[in-house]
Amino acid sequence: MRFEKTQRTPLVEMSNSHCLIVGECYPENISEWSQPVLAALEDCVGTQDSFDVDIELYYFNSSSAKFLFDFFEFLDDKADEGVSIVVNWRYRAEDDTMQEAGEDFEEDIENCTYNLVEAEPADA
Amino acid sequence: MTIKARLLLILVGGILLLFGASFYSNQQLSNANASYNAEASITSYTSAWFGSLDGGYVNNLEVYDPTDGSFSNIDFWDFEKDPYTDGDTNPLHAAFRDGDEQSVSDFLDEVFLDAIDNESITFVTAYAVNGQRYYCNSSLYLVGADPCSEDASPDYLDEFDELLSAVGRGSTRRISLITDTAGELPVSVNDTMAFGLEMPADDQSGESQTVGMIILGINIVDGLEMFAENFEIETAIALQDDVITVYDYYEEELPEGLSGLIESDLSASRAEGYTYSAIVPELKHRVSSIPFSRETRASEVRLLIFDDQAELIEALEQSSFQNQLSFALVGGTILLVVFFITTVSFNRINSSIVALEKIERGELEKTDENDYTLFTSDNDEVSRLQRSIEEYREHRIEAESQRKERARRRDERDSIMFEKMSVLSQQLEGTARDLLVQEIMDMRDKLSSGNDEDKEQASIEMMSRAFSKMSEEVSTLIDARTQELVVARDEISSSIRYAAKLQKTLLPKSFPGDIDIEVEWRPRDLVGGDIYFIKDFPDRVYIAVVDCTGHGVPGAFLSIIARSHLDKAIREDGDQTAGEYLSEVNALLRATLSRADQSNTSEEGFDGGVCIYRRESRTLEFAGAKASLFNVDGQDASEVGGDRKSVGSSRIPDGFQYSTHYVKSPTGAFVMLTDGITDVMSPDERPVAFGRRRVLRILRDSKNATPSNIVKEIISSVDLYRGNAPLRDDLTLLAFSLEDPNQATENLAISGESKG
Repeated sequence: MRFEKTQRTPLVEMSNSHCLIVGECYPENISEWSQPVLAALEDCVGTQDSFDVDIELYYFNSSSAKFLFDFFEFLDDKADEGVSIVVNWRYRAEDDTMQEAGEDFEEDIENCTYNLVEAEPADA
Repeated sequence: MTIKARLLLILVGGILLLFGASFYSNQQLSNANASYNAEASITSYTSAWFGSLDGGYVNNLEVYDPTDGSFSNIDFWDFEKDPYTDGDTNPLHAAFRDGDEQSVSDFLDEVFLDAIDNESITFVTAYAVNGQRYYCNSSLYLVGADPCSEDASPDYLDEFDELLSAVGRGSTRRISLITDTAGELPVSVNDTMAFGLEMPADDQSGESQTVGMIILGINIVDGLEMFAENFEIETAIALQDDVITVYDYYEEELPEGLSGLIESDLSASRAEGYTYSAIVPELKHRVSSIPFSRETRASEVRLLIFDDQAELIEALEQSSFQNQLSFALVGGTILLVVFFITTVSFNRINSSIVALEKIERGELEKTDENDYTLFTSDNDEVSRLQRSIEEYREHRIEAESQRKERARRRDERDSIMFEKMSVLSQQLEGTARDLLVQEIMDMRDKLSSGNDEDKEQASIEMMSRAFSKMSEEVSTLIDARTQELVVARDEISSSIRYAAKLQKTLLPKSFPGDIDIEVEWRPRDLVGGDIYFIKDFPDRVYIAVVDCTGHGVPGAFLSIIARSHLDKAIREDGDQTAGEYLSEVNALLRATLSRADQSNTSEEGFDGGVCIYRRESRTLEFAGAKASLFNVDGQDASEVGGDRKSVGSSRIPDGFQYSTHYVKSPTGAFVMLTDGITDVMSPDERPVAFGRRRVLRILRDSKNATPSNIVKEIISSVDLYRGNAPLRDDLTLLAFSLEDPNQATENLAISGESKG
């Protein structure tokens, strides 16, 4: 499943074993965008033994932070149920805002394997 | 003339022509047949008759021939013998030579009386060379002219000398006619043999001389009767100027029809010559004319043979009739059949034409077709024509139904249009209304009359007029609405401008005199969720910078609530740390926003920091909700981070207390900001936020760390960083310094302590 990138929302690619989120996230109405993404996540996670998540965000606003909390909470619950989940939070070396955001989310996560990954500064 | 009539006429002509040709060829055939039959008749009758004639001649006359005759008779005529006395001189010759008539008569009586009595010879006569008759004897039963009578005129006397010289060379056979000069008896016809009596000449030359001539005759009537009987025919003898039948000899009446036949011979012999054979259909007889004997010419004496051909003629007529009848029947049948077929075909074609004409007139119901199954097939031309017409008719029906459907839809459309235009006209006033009503009336008139095409035309015209009328009205309406929208927009924007004015009044109007404060407050829109708050008491000052969730009008509303709680949470007695104060604000805000409502998925609240400066103890307290306090003192810059919990957030556990950070003897400048500063993004494909580290670097690099200079540097740096990209959020930057310019040497001491 694929949610195309817009000016205010990131690209989301979802399969039974993997989820990729890349871009910026500050939609006018966060729930309108987030509900189908979370529904897709519920459909995908748990169909296989393991699930990998790669997130590379450049900006998200405070209402999108709520979505990310919900997103990680769901993953953490699934990991608690036994699914092997790996989350890679990617940030650029110069982007302290995203680095700190990643650190913030790390604090709330107990059951997933959570990696803060410093990504290549230049465009890959 | 119709094609059918022409066809039939041609057919009739053809049949008649065929009939004529057949008739002609039949005629030719029958002529050839007749000619062949005639030849055959002539040949067969001639040979039969000659045979019969010869038989009589040979048996009765030739036996007396001096050279070819029977042995017993030869001696009678030998001059060197006396047949009665065995002397060497024949008395008959002598008697002739001597003119002894009586001796001749006696002699000949002796020879011929028996033969005459039994009728094997009809007459015998003898002449001297001078033409004198020495002897004549004839049968008692003789018919016709008697050669021995005084009135008799035998034709051989007409050419006596030639006959005499001829018999000198041997016996001569001929047909002799004996005429009764008295005219009482019919000519008798006889087969005769003449011979001379020869003896050596007196002059001793050794040549012979004829001393007398004897003529034997046999009447042909008996032979003729027998011949007729044998062949079941009637006969007649045709002379140059007379015709004689056996009935003439016996003086009997001619049988019925015979005289007619004889008559017919008279005309036929003139036309066809003397030897012929022809059928006389009206008399039902064949008439054959042949020479009477080998020795006679047909021009002189002919034998006419009449045989009954009634059966043959009847059969011929029958066959000819049957021929004609069958021809007529076949021709008639063909004509009838062709007539029937053409009639049927042309009737069907006619009915097809009628059907087509009806379709042309628009009568589309199916015509009843006559069913001529015997003479039609599904694949013949007319059937195909009919099928094509049928298909055409169906197409026409379909087209007709489509036309009706179109007309119906058009009427519907028209009536809707009338309705709409009537509604429109009611909205108008004065002349415009009258004009439109008049127009509607006119168009109604047009649409209710005329044929389909006119109606269609009128409908299209009406549609276009209605459309232009409507579009005029609509553009008038749009102009009006646009005008309204402009007014509304202006109203809203003036409302918002007024709201911005109001929001600005909520911002501090004056700053404490002992604190140098510089603020950049820049909502993304006219109003925003960012506010800053300064409350000055004699012993202490509250400074807060707050970023409420959202921006624009909703953010502004929330900012008003937030400001009210920031005000309300202040304890009059001042006995509260910055952390306690922020926790109180959080409690008030959560109570206000009814956090119990779980269905509320958005996170209303705010991030921000609060500072309390206590003048007496020269202490600065700081508490932050996802916000930091920066400090720059000329040598270094530092950051005091707040708690990572938004005020009003549902994620804050019950009883959570914000920490208070203490800055003893604060020196240098302090900076508070909202994420409008740090979240300014670079204009890249994968943008990077401005971030707090850049803020720190700017502070560190700042040569002149006065609040106004710091604000100027950070803002210009941020504007440079975002390039042409618009602001994403409201932005607030507040810098302040507490120190006396004369006491700028104290070290910055920062310590954090959580008051649980």
